[in-house]
Amino acid sequence: MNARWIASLLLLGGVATAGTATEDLNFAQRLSARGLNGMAEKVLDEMVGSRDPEKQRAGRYGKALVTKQEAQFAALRYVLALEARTEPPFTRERVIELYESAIPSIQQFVKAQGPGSDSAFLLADTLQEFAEFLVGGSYPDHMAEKKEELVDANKDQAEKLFEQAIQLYRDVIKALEKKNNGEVGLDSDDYGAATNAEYQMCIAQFRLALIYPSSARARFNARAGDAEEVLDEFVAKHYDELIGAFALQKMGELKYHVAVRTGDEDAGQVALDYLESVITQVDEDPTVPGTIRIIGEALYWYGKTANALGRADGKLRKPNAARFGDTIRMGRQLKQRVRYGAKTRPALLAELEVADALAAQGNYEPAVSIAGEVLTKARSAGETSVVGTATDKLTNWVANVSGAGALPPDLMSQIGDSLAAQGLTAKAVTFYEKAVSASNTPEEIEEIANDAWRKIAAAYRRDKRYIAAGNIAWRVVQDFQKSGQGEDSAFYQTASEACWQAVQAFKVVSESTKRSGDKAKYDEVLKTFRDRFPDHPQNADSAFSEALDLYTKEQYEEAAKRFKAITSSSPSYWSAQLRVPVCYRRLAVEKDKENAQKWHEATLKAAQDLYALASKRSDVPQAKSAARTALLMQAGAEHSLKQWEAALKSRDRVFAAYPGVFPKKGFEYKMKIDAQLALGQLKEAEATLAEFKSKLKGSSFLRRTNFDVYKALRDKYKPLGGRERAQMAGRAAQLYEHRIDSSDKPGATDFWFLADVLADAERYSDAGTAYAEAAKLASKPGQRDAWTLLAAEMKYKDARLNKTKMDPRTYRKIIGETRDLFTQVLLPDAKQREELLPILADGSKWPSKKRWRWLAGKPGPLLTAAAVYGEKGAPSPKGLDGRWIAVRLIDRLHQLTEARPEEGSKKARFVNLWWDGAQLQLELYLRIAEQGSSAAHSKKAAQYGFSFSRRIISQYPSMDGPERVADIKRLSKQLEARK
Amino acid sequence: MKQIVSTLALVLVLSFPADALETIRYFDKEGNVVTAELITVTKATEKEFRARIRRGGRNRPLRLEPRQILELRRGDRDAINQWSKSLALGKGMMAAGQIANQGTASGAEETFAKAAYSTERGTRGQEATERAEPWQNMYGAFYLIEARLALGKQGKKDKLNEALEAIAQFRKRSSARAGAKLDMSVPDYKGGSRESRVFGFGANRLGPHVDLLEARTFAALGQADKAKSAYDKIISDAPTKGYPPNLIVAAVIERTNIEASGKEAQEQETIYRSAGTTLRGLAGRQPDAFGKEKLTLAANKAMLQGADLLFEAAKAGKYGINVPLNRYKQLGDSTEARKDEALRLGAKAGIGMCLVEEGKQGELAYTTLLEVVTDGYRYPEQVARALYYLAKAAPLYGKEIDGAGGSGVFLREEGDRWKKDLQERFPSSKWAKKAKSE
Repeated sequence: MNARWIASLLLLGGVATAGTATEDLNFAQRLSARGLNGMAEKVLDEMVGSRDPEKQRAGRYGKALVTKQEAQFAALRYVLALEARTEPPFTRERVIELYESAIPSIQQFVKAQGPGSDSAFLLADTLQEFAEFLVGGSYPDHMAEKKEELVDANKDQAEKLFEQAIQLYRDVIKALEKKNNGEVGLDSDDYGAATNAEYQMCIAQFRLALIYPSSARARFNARAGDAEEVLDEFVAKHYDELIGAFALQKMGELKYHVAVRTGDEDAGQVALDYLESVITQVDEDPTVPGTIRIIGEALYWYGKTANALGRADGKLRKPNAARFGDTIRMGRQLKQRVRYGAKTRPALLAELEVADALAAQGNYEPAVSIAGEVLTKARSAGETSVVGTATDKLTNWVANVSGAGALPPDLMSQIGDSLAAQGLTAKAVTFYEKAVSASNTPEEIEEIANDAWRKIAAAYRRDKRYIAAGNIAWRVVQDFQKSGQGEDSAFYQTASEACWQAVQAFKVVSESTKRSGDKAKYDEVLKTFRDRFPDHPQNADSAFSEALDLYTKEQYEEAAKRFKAITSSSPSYWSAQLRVPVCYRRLAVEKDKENAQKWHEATLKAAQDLYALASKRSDVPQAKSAARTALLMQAGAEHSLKQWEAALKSRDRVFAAYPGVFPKKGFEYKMKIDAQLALGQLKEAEATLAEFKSKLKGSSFLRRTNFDVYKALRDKYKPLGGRERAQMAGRAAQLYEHRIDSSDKPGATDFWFLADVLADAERYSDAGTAYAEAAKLASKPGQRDAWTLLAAEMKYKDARLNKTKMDPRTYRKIIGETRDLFTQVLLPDAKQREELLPILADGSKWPSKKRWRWLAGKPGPLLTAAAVYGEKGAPSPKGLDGRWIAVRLIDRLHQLTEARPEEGSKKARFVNLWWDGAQLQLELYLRIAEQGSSAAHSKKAAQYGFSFSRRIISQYPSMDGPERVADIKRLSKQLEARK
Repeated sequence: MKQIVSTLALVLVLSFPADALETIRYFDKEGNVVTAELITVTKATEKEFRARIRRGGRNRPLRLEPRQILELRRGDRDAINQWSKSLALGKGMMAAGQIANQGTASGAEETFAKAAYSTERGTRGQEATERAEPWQNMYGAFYLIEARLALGKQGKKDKLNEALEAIAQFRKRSSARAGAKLDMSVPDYKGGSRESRVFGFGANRLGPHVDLLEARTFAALGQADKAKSAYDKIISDAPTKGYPPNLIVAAVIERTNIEASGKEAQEQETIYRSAGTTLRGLAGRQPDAFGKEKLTLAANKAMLQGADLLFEAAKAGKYGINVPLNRYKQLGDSTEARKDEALRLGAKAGIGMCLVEEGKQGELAYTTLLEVVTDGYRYPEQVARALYYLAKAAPLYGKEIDGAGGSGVFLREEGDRWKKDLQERFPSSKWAKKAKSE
């Protein structure tokens, strides 16, 4: 692995590019060629984002190239999937979309770089490929016939694209000639590029001709003539090069189409001459890969042409049976000359043409034999489209073959399997019967023929022909019984399975006809099955099946008893024992919830018994698994019974005994955490949760468990104060953040909760962001306002917390913004905002009834607003002292809250607000008294403040806590001194 | 390396089945039918056939009585000799149905005619490539008769007369020594003929085969009496002259077909039954097990064919269905039926068919026909007709079950499935065509 590859692997997350533009582009191209488009795009994105203009340009070019390559791969995969009769990975529209997005971006480069550039060549190739895809084919070597409906629908667009491509190739050739002063000689560096452009132009001409159907004969002739002319010229020029042979092969192919579309037999003969010339002149050389393919293709087209002449395909009028002999002779060439490429698609299809020729002569046996060989080879080579074609041919021919010898019986049987899997029962049966006929040796009869009969029975049963299925399967059983073979024979296995087939078939017959004769037959077959094949999985499980039947019918109590009664001789013993606690659990949680306690206890007991039983048999794999499940069930039952300590213990035993095994996909952790939380082991629960997250990231139980731990933390920290509260809130906030991260679409409430806990954790900035997010998502205007204010409040709090680290201007700005926001929300009316102070002073003017109700439910913002207005150093509104506004806001707050509300009153939750407001008001009075706008103002403020403090001290001597009492008394004294 | 590749390729070529090779199919003393590649024929007279063949990758000598030869394909597309190529080419054309000339393309007839009369010696140094051998003339002449007969059957009556002329010439040339020169009229390819000197073949194994072709030609010409006497001669000579079993069967059956033609069904049945008896008699005089079995099976088939004729007549309302039913039962219960699966299954199919036509015993009809369908994989014709009637028997049986208080839905649905099976498995059979047209 070279350094660039290693670098790419190390930098998957963010690829850095370090080479030159060309190096990076080459690297991206190599990545893309290996199908690593994601990585290639990262490299190219880096290039586009770089400061180097050359890299930027190369990056953009590379992106166009990757899109083109993606389109090409998509087209290839699309058509191959269709040929292999499987679901395409892309829609046709998607492939077209990719091409359509690649073409304009390449065109831009052509404009910039000129006609002889690489981009022009690339564009021509892309146009040609796209055109080919539109009319049915997908890539240059595509050999399937085009679909008429696609050709009809797209030929105009394809024609334009081909013409554009041809012109582009011509321009490339001209540009290269100009560069080389008129002619691109062999010694020129541009010889390869010029030859390639010429060849591609020929191919584009060739393909353009083929888009015209037989009905457009004149246009086809004209275009075919053009194509022939350029191909002819090319062959003459490059007659001694391999590429010349490629062109000659295309000429042969073209002539085939001319023959079939116009009925020109001479063209057919010319095609054969051209193709034979390619076959005999080119030698297979594995070091020159093109040689392998070209011989195969030439052979294929030779066979196709000769057979077409033999049958008089298309417009050909005179069938010439002698031509089949030509194909057959060419089949000999195939055997002689194709060695390395024997399993390539063209060679395999060529062999099928030979088989076709033989079948046309009535020689079905060799035809079937060749098609069978092709099928085997195509399977091993993964040539799925050839597998389909060969199977089709075999299906058509095999009925004409007497049986033995045409194909090996195992292959016949395999073809039958493939047909049966496609639901083609009749054809499958034919092949199975041929497999029977072709089985001659005792081994073949034992292993293939008997099994083929069983498969026929299975095919009939699937097709609901129960009597036929039962009869055939039963005959296999009888043949086995007569054979005297032992239980170690292949026949025993076949007969055992056949007997089970017969049981199932006759069961349906018996149940449908309700006749005693059919019932007797069923009973006889069933008895034989039970007695003769006791080790058949279905047979051994008959008691288990009955218990399972009860289980399926939700008769859990009875099912539990039956499962429990299954003896250790049954192969389903452990499965049965495992189901005993499961049955009880089902009763507890589903069927008989009223007696849940009883059934949970029964589950616990059954699980304990099972563990005791299974843990002694560690030598039996099923017992091992049963022991683990028993422990899990035990823990589950203890969990349900709220036996937390025991549940925790059981859980730890499971983890200790089976580390890293989570059959319940995370429920194991949930139960442990539940127990820990129930036992108040919050820290341990947090640790377990962390482990849970690291081990089973995708568990569906994770989200719920995460919330449980968060909730437990929240419940615990809320009554606390100080650092411990902030720390625990911080941990809770992390959990809630995880909850939001794992949610597909978190809602406003999610962010509200997060903001709340973040505020508790004193992460005000984050809390502000979360409130803002909640406001953004809120559906009700009132809620939006409230969360907007809280977001602002958090911003303000954060600013206050970090005031010392902050530039004073920034701080003032934040305060100003917060204040404006509060004013706008609290006083949405612009006129009211203009007369802020008088309005606040006059209780009747503000707030409106609606806003009053809103504030009654959320009075907090009044206090924050007051704090902002009263902030020392805050910019005052024009012509106003913000501190008086703050005082008025606190007055409004005190109208909405109470210093000592009645117990149970809604206002009780705002008691702290009242006292915080009161303390702030006294501080504001004191500040005005100390730094009033006038002496009168100062005195007045001191008097108001002192009088207010005396009143509350006398009315509420204990206030909302001793700290408050001390603070208020201190302020009262200071005000008294100023009055 | 090239040598290795060539050797490998040679092996592949030799294992490649194509019209290029000369092949022989014969039965050995154990009664096994063997197909092998013919390398060279060392002796071929009326009484003896010696050759070298390739079997199991080795060259082996082969010595047979001519009656053991079931099929001998002469002519090799890849031989260096042009006449050997011509024979193979002509056979290929015959197989593909290209018998007459089509425009400028030669047909099999012309190809064989050239091979039949050529006395070319070859230019100096090119003898091996160009020279015509008497045996090539002989096979050319034999295949020429076949080609003309085939053309005659396609409606070209004059070709039948030409076939008779060719037969006469064949016999004349066979009575002369191999390589002897004879003067006779030969086609000149301009529509006329010319006198020419040709080779004699000498006594050969093809004599009775030519006799059979003659009988067929008379039959094609509508000369029933001549045809019958030609067939009779083959049949009477067969035990003493040691004719191949397949030739005897063909002669008896074809003669019976002519005799039965235009007669009432019951009379026809008697004729086929009598043909069966004749074949059984001839089987008893066969010198080997293969011959005995071949003729016995043919006898059974003739008996079955007679019963089938009764069935068709009964369907047309000439008799009650019991007439063919009883005959089928008789055949099914016979000793021969225990030995001959084709007869047993044929009789079973017949019984099933009768029961369906009768429309009364659905269950029995169904189970009888089902047995044929599931057991008769070696006898496509029996399976095809059993499928045709099984498609009718299934709903009949279903109805019976419904009537008895059960549910025969699954059987009623089965009917269409069996019919579909018939179309898919035997699309070209008369039964599939019949089912399709209904």
